[in-house]
Amino acid sequence: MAAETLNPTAIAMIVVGAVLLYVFGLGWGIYRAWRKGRERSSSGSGEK
Amino acid sequence: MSAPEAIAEYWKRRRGFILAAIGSAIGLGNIWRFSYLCYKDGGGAFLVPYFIALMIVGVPLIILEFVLGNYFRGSPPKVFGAIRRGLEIFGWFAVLDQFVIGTYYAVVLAWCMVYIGFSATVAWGTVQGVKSLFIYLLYKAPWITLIGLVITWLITWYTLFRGVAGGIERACTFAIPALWVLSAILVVRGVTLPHHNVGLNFYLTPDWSKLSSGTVWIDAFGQILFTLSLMAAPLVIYAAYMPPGSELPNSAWITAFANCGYSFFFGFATWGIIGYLMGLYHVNNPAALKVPLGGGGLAFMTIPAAVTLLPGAPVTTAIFGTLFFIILWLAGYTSLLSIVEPIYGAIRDKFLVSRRVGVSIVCGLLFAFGLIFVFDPDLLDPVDFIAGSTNLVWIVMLEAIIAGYMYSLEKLRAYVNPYAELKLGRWFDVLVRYVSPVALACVLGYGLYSVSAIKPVSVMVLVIITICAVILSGTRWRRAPPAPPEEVSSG
Repeated sequence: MAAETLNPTAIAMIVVGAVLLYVFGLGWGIYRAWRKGRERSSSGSGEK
Repeated sequence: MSAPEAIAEYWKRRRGFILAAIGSAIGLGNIWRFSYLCYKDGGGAFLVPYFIALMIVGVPLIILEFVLGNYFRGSPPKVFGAIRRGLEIFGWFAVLDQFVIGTYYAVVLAWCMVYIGFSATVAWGTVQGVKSLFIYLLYKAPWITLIGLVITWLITWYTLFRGVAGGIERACTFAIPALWVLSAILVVRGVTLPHHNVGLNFYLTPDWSKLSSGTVWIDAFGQILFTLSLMAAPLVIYAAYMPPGSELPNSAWITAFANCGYSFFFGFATWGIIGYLMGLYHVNNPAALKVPLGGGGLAFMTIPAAVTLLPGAPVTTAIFGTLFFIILWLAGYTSLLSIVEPIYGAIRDKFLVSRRVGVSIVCGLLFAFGLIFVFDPDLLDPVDFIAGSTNLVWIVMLEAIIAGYMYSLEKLRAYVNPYAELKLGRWFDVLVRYVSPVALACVLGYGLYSVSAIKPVSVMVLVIITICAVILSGTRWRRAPPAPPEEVSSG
């Protein structure tokens, strides 16, 4: 049977995948949309 | 009766548009192809070419499709006909390719639908019964598939019949979060099974030497192309339903990463379960299990066999088997919506057909042609080879070339940037004009080089699509022929 524990390099790739896809990618995109949305709504209310 | 407007429908919210685009992108391949490619192409090392392909081809092309649809406000024939009159045929080719994909894609969904029932009742009985049940379904009992196909098409027809906001948006707003929640349950089960680490090691332990293999890079670019629904049609029509002056680049970015993040996430469920099987059978290598580790074989044979052996079976078999096939069906259903919508959009734009009539005709035709695959499932692979694989690569390659060289990317950037949360710079032009066509040419060239023999049915499908595209592009527009927005406004 192969090793029952997770290889350190596999753990490293889980971190790399999560950081690239979720933090840098999805998280940053959603944050950017949220921040711009807040800016738009605050500038809209300022005009009023 | 007044003629229907070319674009009379819009998404209710930007969130609905993004969820629909994510629904289009997340499909069967996210579940049964990505993690298999990881295992085959260097484990975690595959993430490197995959991420590079996502950044230099995936994100730019998804932005391009969004911008083309939103700027030209219509289906592919209208978009490409507006760029240059003679290019309308290319738009029809993309739409007809979607038509062919829709015929057999729905049949695969029908199998998923049938397997929801099979899983709930553990119809295969024992592990030994799994393969024979699948073969029985395919070759001996097509009427069971037919029931699944009818239900799948009724749900799809009704969703599209209800329109963009009331149908597609509402369905995806429910289906995509549900997909994530249900997948999370399966992932938790996968990574809490005994020996799950054994499988995860094969999924993610990097073999850096594989990065010197051209096949690995081709697989990564091909996977990005297919997984993001880059087909010059679904994302184009979805973006056309956003009002002018909408944010597009960041929406594309979110769509791309949500899709790829889902693939990565679901791999933990698949490989946790495969690790469990390896532990049960005391084998050191997944290949020694002698079961399919990717594709339809994984879904319809390996997973049913694995859930049959879960602790707590048969109750857990029914629960997790049903869960898996509901996930698979939901992923496919939201993609099928995006396959059918551009077909309807194209006939609406050109022939001014109302949604109710158009959607009913398109769904009816797709159902009728899908019967071919119900009664002869062996046709599915050669037809998928041409319509779902080869054609898509050159269609998207030509799309990038057309936008990059026959229209002005500067004009598109100037249109989109005032509203963009992610500004498009010169980098966008370089990636669309030079990098994407070269990368896709390599994928196409390698794909054709590595195929042993092209079956006659594949050639026949290609010929039929071409003839139909010629005929449809030659018919008269029931309104003014498409033109670029700047000419329409100045004229």
